[in-house]
Amino acid sequence: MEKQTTTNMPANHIDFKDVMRLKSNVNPHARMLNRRRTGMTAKAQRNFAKATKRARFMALLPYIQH
Amino acid sequence: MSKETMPAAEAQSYELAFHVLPTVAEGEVAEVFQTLKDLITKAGGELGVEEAPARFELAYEIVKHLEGRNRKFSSAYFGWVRFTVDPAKVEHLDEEIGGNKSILRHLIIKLTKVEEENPYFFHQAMAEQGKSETIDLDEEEAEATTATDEDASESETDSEVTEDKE
Repeated sequence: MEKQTTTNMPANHIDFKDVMRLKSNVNPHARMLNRRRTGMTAKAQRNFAKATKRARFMALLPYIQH
Repeated sequence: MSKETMPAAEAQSYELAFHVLPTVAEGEVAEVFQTLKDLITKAGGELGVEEAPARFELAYEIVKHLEGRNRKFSSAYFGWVRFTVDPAKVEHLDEEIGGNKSILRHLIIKLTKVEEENPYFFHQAMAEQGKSETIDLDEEEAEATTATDEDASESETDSEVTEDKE
C-alpha cells in the first residue's frame, strides 16, 4: 500500500468517519450499493461494508432513510 | 467486533470513537474527554492523534436508559482518539468507558496499517465541506421519483402523496 497524504485515503479504503465518501456509495434509502454499482474491488467493497456498518452504529449514517 | 484475540503482549493501535451526552455543559465536555484519556493512560496506553468532541447532529435518535427512563438523543459531541496499548487491557478499558455516565455511545476499533497511516479528521472535513458545498449528494443516486430525501425526512410522511408529486 502506498503512503497517502492525510486527507486522501487510498482508493481501497474508506474510514468510517468519512461520511461523504460513504454516502456516495449508498442508495437513497441508505442501503449499501452492490459491487457492480460501486465499481470497487472485492477488498475495497469489504472495507466499505465494514466502514458503513461502523458509521451506522455511531449514528454518522442512518440505518434506513425514508 | 473490536476485541482482539491474540495473546501477544505487543502494543496494538486502536481508535476510540465516542459520543458525549448532549446534556453535558459545553465547558465540561473537555473534562470528559480528559477523563477518557486518563483512563487510557492508566491502562498503560500511549495516546496518538485525536479530535476533540464537537457538537454534531446524529443520523438517527439514539435511545439510552438513564436515571430510570429511556431518553432519546438527536445530537451529541462526537470525538475520537487514537492510542496504542497492550491488547490484554483493551477489554477492561472498553467496559470502563461504557460505564462512564457521560458517554452516550462508544466504539473501539483495531487499526490496520492503512488506517494508522491515514487518520481522517471528521470535524475538520465537515467544516471544509460546509464551506464549499454546492452539490447535493442526491445527484449521484438520481432516481427520478425520490429526488428529495431531505423533504421526505423533515415532513411527517403518513401519506405518500407528497413523494409521488415530486
